[in-house]
Amino acid sequence: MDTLSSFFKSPYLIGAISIFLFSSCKQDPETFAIHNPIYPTGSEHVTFTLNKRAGDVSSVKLFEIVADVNSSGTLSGATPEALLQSWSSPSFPVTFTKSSGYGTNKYVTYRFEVSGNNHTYNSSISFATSPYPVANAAAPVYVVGDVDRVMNCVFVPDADMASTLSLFYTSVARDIDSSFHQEDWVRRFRYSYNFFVNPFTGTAGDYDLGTPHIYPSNNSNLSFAQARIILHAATRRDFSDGVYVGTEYYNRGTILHETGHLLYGMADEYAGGSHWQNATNPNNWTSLAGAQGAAPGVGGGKKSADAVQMGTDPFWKLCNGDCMMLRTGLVIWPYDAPCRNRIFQKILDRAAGN
Amino acid sequence: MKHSNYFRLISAALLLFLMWSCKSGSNDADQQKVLDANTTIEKEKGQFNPAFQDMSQSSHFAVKINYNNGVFELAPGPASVRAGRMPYARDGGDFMVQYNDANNKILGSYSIQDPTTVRSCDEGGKPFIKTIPHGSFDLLLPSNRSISIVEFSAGGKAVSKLTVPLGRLATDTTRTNNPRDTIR
Repeated sequence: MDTLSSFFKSPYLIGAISIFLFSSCKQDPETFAIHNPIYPTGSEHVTFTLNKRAGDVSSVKLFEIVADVNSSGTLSGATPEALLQSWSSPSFPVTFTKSSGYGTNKYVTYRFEVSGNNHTYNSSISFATSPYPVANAAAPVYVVGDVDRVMNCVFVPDADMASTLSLFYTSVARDIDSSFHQEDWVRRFRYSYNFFVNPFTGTAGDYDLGTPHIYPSNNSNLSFAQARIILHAATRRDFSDGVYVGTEYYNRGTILHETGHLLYGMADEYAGGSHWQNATNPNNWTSLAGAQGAAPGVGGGKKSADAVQMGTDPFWKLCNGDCMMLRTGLVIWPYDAPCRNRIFQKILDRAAGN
Repeated sequence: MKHSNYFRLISAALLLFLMWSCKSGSNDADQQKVLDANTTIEKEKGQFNPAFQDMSQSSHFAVKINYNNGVFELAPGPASVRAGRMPYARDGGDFMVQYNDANNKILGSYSIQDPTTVRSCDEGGKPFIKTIPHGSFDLLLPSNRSISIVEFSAGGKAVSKLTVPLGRLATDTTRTNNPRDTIR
């Protein structure tokens, strides 16, 4: 008994608890996969990269399946899933380069299997090689799910990028990786976004000049997508007509702001913007009392005192001044709690087929 | 200080630090919520089907609407059938489209940005919203041939009510390049 008593008073217990806590407080891994080029020709080498944002990773495996795709989009001749490489206790980023091109009319699916902190999860992504053989269809360059169950974004090259398509494709990859894989909330939902590039150009209008967007010639084949984004090189005052939005190819903050409207139906958070109150998980309220009343339920430590009017517009918000629905431009700002709730609801709704 | 006391102090400090750092890590109350959601999404999301454009999987209708100074009308021509489910959600804008059957029974609704406006969120410029007095837009509707009447409302006020008899409209399922009119 004395021995037991002295053990509980001893530093050994503290040490044992410390070791237990040290092992139990590891974080789940959080990683992001991307390939480069995002839309490779049949002869280009493709590099697969897995970046780590946080957590503990003990091992990584990379697999691939390669199939033929015909002009109707039908897949055939899929290879069995093959292990390309495995890593133990990897340092990041993890990369693997496929040293031979995939060939023409191919549809590639790669899967990173990530293990750490007693969890294993997968990032499975598919892309087509260029040129995509399905006539008048947007080419899948980073797709993760059924078009009816995930959010779909089509990047359209502006006519002013027609002669620099390699810059357009590079920008699409950066926009995916530096917008959707960066923002603190959106990046957590790796299974929820399909990305496409359009084979035809459009032309983004200029709000100040009063010039409209000119839609790509295959527009009628793109209406499955919630977001259609025209990337342009010239500086313009961009706008959305509710169907297309234009932006400079590097303005990743604008892409996140506009997809905040297009994918999740969120309202603006600046005075003079476009306001409405959604029936569920709004980020704008039509009354101060409504915003104050909602504050305790939205999370993020919101209090009724956080409710502020947007200028003299008859709408109130709870998001702070740096929320992405207030900002546009180059910089990524984190969505605040009301917007997070809305995004969460919409991607779950979409996955459920609603 | 005795070595054993010194060790005890260091150990206690380490313990407190670990408890604090672990608490900070688990303070993210959203972590489990996100984990659960991703588990659900992974089960539900299915796989991308490159043949989805053949419309055997799902489809929706599009009809062209002309508008002129607040007056909306159905443009002549067939409704087109397009691949994929309706992209819009029930709520998500200040312009509501409600679709009814021939007996005015509500079949559903969705909200979008007012298609008669353009909105600029580029920082630094004003104004932000402009109404385009006349133009046209594609009205998207779910694949339901019972739809006969469409009602528009903007900012909660009724704007227009149109007869759009999808069951009687000819449909165009060709997937050729159809340059769409611009918004003016």
